[in-house]
Amino acid sequence: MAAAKVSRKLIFSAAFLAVAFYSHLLFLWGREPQKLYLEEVLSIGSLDDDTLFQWVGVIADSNGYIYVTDTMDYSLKKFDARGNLLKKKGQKGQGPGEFMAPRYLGISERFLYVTDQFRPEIQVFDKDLNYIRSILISMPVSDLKVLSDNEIAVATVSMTKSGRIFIFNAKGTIKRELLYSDKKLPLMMDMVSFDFDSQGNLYIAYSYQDKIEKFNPEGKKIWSKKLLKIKRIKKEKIASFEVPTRLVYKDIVLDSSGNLFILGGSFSKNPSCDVYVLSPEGDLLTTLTLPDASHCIYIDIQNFLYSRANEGVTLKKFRMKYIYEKKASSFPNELLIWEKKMSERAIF
Amino acid sequence: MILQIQKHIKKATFILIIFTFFLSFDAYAQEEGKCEKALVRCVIDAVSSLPSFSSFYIHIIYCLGGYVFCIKYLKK
Repeated sequence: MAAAKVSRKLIFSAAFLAVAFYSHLLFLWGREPQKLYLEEVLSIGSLDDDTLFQWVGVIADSNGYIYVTDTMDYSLKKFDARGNLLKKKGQKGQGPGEFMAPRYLGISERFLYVTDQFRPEIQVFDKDLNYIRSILISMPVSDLKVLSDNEIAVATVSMTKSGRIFIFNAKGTIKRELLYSDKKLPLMMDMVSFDFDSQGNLYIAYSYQDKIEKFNPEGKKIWSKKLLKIKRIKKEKIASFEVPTRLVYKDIVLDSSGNLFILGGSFSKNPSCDVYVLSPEGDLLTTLTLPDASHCIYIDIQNFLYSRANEGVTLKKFRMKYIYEKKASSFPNELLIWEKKMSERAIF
Repeated sequence: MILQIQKHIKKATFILIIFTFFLSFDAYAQEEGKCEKALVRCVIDAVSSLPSFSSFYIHIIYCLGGYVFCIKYLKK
């Protein structure tokens, strides 16, 4: 009888503790992060070596290999997770597997996709950097995201067909066009960086306008945000073209939870260093500052963030650390540091 | 004597500061104008592809593409 009482008490206590612990977790997970810090975990290339000369595009695969386009070295480079150079492919030229100015990178299950500033095509390589084929694109590519081997989304520089993202198939035929601006805007004013989430929603950050927008897969605009309250972008007349000379947003990428990371340009408090973190609903969660100015940011599937240092000689990889403010009355000033390792579990 | 030397040091420091300021301003201006100068050069090159309007147009598009990349990469 007494043993039954004791075991009932034990069960009750265990249940109580479990409920308390679960509520505590819910409380934490329900909170938005107050701050986001970067912890450097890897640095590739330095001013003292010739690993990288001037990198432009970066992408990582699910095995942790890092692929980089090095424009000054006319090459595509593959590094292991520790930053050791495993392979280098390419030289200056117009032939298969050669580069004039390699730029952006896309990745699928099997292939790597590489754009070139001066070649009207996207070159496809396998993950051992063997050249496979080319996809002809008649316009210069300003951003690239590979949805699958048969769906390559591309933003281009164009004077006529502007305000849209083109989806090419593997043969280079346009499958569909995603129109994000039906207004005829002045030259370059509708240029964007873009990314897709896992549901197929499109997010765009205008390069020369203070505008971030979300579209659903049917092309309907969900929301539009201004982060910097910029009213007018100054333009200059250069060689009879009136062009903007300062970027508002340089890049947009999504983490594995669907949060948006937007790299600010010249108008940010810390130019080319400030990264605005938005929820999928467009709410500003926090802002982080990169240690060095960068032209792009990239987030891999494990939520490591990559950016530039030493003007393109160095590639940095960071773990993102979130700090959540705990407002429980018994600990009024306590800050709870929560290290976010998305490889282990998604928190928000 | 010491006072005179101190005066000279002050003057020299002031001149050095002004000189450094102008030097840094000039370097900044050069950096600022790099992409614009490249665009001008590219457009001049594109004119040589006339009277073929289609090649001129393609050349101009690539000039703008280069300009876009240049300011994205170089300008803070």
